[in-house]
Amino acid sequence: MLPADISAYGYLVDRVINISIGGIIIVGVISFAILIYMLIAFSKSKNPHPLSEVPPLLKKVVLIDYVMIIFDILLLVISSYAWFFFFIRPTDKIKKEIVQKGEDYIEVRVIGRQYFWTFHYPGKDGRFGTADDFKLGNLMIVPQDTNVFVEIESKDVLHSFFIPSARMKYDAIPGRKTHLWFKLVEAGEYEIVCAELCGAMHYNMKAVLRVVPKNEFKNWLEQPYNFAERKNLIQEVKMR
Amino acid sequence: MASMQRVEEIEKEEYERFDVPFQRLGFWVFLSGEIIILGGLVAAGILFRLSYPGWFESSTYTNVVISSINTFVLLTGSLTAVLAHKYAVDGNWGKVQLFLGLTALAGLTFVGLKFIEYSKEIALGFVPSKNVFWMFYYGLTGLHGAHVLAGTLIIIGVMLYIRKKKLVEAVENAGLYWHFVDIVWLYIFPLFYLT
Amino acid sequence: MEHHEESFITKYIFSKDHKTIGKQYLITGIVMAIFGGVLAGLFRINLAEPGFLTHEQYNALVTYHGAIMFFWVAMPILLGGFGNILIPLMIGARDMAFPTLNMISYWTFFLSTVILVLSMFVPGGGFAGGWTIYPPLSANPQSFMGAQLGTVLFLLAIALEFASMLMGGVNFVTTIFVMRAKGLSFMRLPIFIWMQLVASALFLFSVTPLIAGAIMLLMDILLGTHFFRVEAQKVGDPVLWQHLFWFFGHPEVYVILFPALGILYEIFTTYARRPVFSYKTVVYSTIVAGVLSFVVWAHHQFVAGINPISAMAFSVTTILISIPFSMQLVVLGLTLAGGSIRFTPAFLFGVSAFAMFIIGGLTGLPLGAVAADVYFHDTYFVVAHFHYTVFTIAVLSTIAGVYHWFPKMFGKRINDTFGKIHAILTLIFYNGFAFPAFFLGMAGHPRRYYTALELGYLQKYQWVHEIMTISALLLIITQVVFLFVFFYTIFAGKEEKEPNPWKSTTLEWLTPSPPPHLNWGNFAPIVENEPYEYAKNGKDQDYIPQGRLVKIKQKEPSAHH
Repeated sequence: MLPADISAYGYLVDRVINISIGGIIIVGVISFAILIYMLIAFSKSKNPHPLSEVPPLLKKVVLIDYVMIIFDILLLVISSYAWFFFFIRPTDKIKKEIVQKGEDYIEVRVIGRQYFWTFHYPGKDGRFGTADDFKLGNLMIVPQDTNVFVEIESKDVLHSFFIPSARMKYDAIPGRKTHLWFKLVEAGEYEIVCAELCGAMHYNMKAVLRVVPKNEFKNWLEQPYNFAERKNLIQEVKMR
Repeated sequence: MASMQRVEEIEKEEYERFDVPFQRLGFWVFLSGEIIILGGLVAAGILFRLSYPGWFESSTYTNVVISSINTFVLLTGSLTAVLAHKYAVDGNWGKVQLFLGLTALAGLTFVGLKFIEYSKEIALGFVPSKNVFWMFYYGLTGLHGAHVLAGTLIIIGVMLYIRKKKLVEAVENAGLYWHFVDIVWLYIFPLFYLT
Repeated sequence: MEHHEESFITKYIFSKDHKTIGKQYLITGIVMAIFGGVLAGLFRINLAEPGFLTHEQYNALVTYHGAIMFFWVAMPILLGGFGNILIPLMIGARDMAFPTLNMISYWTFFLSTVILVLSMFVPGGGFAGGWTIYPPLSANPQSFMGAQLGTVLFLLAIALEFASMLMGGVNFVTTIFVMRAKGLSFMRLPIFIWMQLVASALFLFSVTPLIAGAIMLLMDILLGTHFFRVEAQKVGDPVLWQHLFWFFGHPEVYVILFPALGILYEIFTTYARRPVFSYKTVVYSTIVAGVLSFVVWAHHQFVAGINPISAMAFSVTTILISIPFSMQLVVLGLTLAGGSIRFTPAFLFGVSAFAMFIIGGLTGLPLGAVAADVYFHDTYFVVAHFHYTVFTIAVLSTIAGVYHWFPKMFGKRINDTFGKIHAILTLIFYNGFAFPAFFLGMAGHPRRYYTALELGYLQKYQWVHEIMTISALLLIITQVVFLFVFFYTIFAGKEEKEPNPWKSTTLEWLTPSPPPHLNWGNFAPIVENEPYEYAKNGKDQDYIPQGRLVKIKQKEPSAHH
């Protein structure tokens, strides 16, 4: 059911999803089996008079509570680990680790407006606020196997920056900057959507996520405006 | 319906005896909700005051004279409400009417003065959307003013009610409400006028 | 008994009788349920066949559907309806503590209903910002065209509804505390009463901060302040509203869940002929869950900009709160063990509600686990989860209650065969529309989408939407038929003279159906037993009523109000 995972660390989220869904299916099936058994065994036709005591075997159903407690603790541990990995560790620390590991990273600023996304790139020098900054409308291009640090903002109402294929989501809030970090390993085109009701065209607030090989990205940075996606540039994005 | 009953009897008083006067209990339940509404807003105001640097500067434009008179008016209203309750317990219902009337008068005076204060401030250009201070100022004092008005109406209602039915709890609850409104004002007053 | 010469107006319209007020709430709620259902049907058609509605209409319908089902269906039926009718009867009182307040409460609610429906048709259209009313979308007049009037009326309707429920809450708490019959101690209260008590207390303490928030939001809309809005230099905080809303919103779910569970306990014990498996577990876990419900609200905001460490803490409390509920469901289920189950319509609805609660409760776990919620937040998985809880509360449990107490309320009985068919069809169609939503959520389908066809990765799931729409429409048709049968039975149904047709123990079954004005005539109920003394297997009957009626000594007793 889940769309294919294209990120390096999405498996951490998938693991929580799979364990939790798997666990509740098992508990659910057992509960339903017990319920159906009771409905049949204790129907009026089978059991015309109620027993004065609960059958001892059925009293053991209370064990479900203990199973649930153990399952809850397990779920909390793996979920908290993934949450810690993505969101609690300070960005500076993650960047330091990345540099130590010899990996690359880029920074992108995402701005949500009714009803489109704008992606600001620092340009070749990797720093915001210089002359070679540029922006793309409804198109996000990121290099493969590179860590991407996203800073999310909104200019009007609440939006939510959601990449289903990377298992990542965070709200865009006016007056605040929020952060996401991911690393995409599969080249190709994917979708970015808005997951927080933002008005009439909420469903149409989507952007293309293009993951390209590292050298292609480097070439593109040299001359971003000549890139074939020019028609997607922000000035030409049509409202409605 | 009596078919399956053994014949047995109960005193009507025994069936309808309540351990707690339910008017008082109901009123406290209601009051606890009110405390959370106004208490929550006052707490939000205090938090914003701590984090917003322009608060002090703006608060110098509020009218300390009128608000001081209003504080006095509210406290006097509380005193007369206490006296009304005392006379209600003693059974002197004429005096109860008098002192409740004075409390209602205090309420009307407060609302009237508040109205003058607002119009002066708005004339000077201090509208709610001006800054954080003024939006909390109007939000909190406005809601409090509405409560004073409601308290006044409750007291007038009780004055009419006790002409027919001499119920001490009614006087007590009306007084309680007044004290509550009074206490909230004692938090609002320093927050907006004395900082 | 003092005989009141009642005119039509004081008897049926401006009545102070708790039973009449309860029926007024119940009927208004049922009519609003059909209305909210039809709204859902309309936007579900749009999801199957995009273009049926405009974007604004779609958003407005989604908003009104959510708000109506919470505030104008679940709350009035469960608290206003069943609460008003059953609390005095079950605790052996003659009426509520404040009958006049009760009447004002209903008419405030009625006014709010009128304003809500009107707000849909004002120029510029109704409010279309989601039932959670998140600013800045709700607070910025420029966010969507001309909807300011609709928004203000919508907020006004919600405020009036809260005011009415607050009056009800004060009444319920006071009544349960002071007006219990002789011998009815707290640990002998029927579980339904416990649930109403905890629910009323939760509502009183959770709704009040939201009222303060609503005042701030109205100031933002009307006076241009910046509590929640952000403009150039003036920085408000949109997340503050989310805190205020969910601090109310999560306890609110339990405000409607507890009375629904209460109905299920009454129904399971009556039709399985067994006492509650563990009365004390139910009482204590209800109180614990009620207290915990105040510290879980931020699980609606895991990815909404709150501090990630506090998000983790809220994840812990959220998972923790599942424990009292799993205990409750186990106790409820084991109430059937060893019983002798009568498959009446009320039981069929009750047991389907129980089964659906299992699904609804379990699917809360992936949402409460903070890392999985990064993916599931605001997708159809959430939609499916809360339909498995809230639909179960607002529809399955309430219909179960309607079938169970219909003879007591109206002295008539809904046709059993119809009831059974109704239960089975409802269960099938309901799962037909709600269960596929889990798969859409897994596929990453965001909620409140006008259509999924704009997204490449979701186009292949359009057939799922079609199945859901067909099921939803069939479900609505089933309920419309039920509405007709309901009214037909009230006016021309089969009489049910027996005061206790289901052989139930609690006090309300002692008095004739429908109960007379002031409930007990010249008698007074006294309580001598635990609430659920079933499985006694005596000579004549397998149960012992909780109490009995005794004659009042005075010749001409007067009404106490």
